[in-house]
Amino acid sequence: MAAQEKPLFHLTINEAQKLIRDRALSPVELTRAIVERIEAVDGRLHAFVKLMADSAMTEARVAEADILRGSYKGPLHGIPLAVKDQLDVKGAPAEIRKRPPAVSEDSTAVRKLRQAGAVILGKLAMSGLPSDPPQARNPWNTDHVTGGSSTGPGAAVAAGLCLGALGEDTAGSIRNPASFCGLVGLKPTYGRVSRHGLAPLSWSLDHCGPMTWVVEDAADMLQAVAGYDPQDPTSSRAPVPDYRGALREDLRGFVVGVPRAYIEECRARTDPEVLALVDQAIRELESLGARIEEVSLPTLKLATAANAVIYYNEYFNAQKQDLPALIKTAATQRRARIYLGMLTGSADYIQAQRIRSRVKREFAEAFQKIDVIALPAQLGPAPKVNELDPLDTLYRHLAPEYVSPFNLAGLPTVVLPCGFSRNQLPIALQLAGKPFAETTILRAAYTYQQHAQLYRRRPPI
Amino acid sequence: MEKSTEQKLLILLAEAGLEPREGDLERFGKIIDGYVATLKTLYSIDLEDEEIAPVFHAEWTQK
Repeated sequence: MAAQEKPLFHLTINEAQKLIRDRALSPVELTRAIVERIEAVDGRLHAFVKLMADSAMTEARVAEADILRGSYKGPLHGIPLAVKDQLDVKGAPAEIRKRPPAVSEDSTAVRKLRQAGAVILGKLAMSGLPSDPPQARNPWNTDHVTGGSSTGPGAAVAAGLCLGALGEDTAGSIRNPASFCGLVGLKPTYGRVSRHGLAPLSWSLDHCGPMTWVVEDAADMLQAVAGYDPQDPTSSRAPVPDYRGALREDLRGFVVGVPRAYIEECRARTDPEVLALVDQAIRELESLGARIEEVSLPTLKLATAANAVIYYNEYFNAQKQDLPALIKTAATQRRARIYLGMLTGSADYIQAQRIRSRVKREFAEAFQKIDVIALPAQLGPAPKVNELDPLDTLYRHLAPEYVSPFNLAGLPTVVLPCGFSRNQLPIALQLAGKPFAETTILRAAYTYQQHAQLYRRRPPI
Repeated sequence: MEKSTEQKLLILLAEAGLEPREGDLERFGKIIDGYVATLKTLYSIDLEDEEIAPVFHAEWTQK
């Protein structure tokens, strides 16, 4: 047994990697503990749609043998991770694509995790799966949702059913569940992580990224999956920096932009608790050495609508081959998206893209004077499962909110906990940077995390 | 759902050889009307000579 005080399923990647590297913890022991944890609590959380316990144990044994031979691959070697169903995993069904029983090839991001030595535990639930599995539950309070669409990753990482997960974000689908479940959720710059092997929702808005317990873990996972991929036509050749090496507890000289006018635009629909906790977090960034400046982004008020229009129209076109079946059998939200996409004319789509150009231009101008943008991530704490309407997400996309403007602009964005609501549900701070400035937002997030220490609090499950 | 929107949707579905699932038009009437109203808001801004090509370059705004 490893010499640490907390249960193995509560280790962060950062903690587990030190123990594994020092041979104080075996990947087999860790993976077995996580599988046992899944078997013990996932019946209440519904995070996994495909648990691959046998292959995960085999991978853990290979990792252990490699490490004992002196062939340590790095921070993810022997670390049990899981993946949103939307990303292809060799040997597992791709339920969202309706490709049972199994696909024959890993998505690029999963392949890169394997190359880094990670143990793949299986596939995690997401909103809108054809089999309509039970709604994933929030480990902080199982009467509440996890947020979507990366529902399974949110529940799994928060409850210690994996040490980190890969999610996907088209209009907040990494950051919503990360916010609701008290995680770090990182949506990288568009083009930073390959989309090859990802079931498309919207080609120009889809982003793969990590969901983890702490910022260091997100940096390690991003390091593994970032980089050029000739199989993704939008993959960037921009150099991949040392994300982990950039983490320092220091905000001196940082300028944090706060889009006050935009937050006002969203205020009527935002829970006051969210606004108060994010305001407090911004003041804490200032106390840590950052300078706070108001930032003007006049077109941002149209960004959520433009994102929705592009999303639904690209979704409709991406699903065209399967439309006859989808109209008959798809989950409620997916059918609604098809009708909305169908009603979107070419003039609407182009107008939305022109707004996107304008929004990107305004962000670019703002980032000449500031390092990061700080704002809320969510309109409120996680709602109750029995209060959720499948169309709520679509209604949320019709008026300004905090997450989808960064899909539209393709900017790197991270969320992390900044407090808890009165009913003890997590609330998040969101930090965005200029394109490919993941090191900047991770450094700001890390400094805040080390100050706030909220990662010490775990869900009661 | 607004009658004109419903007619447009039915025409588009028919052109694609599709029929709406039973009950969908009633069920989705409110969200569809909300979405059509949202489409109109996109034209509330003067975009001058803004074009769309830059959005397809990931590095466009990288300094």
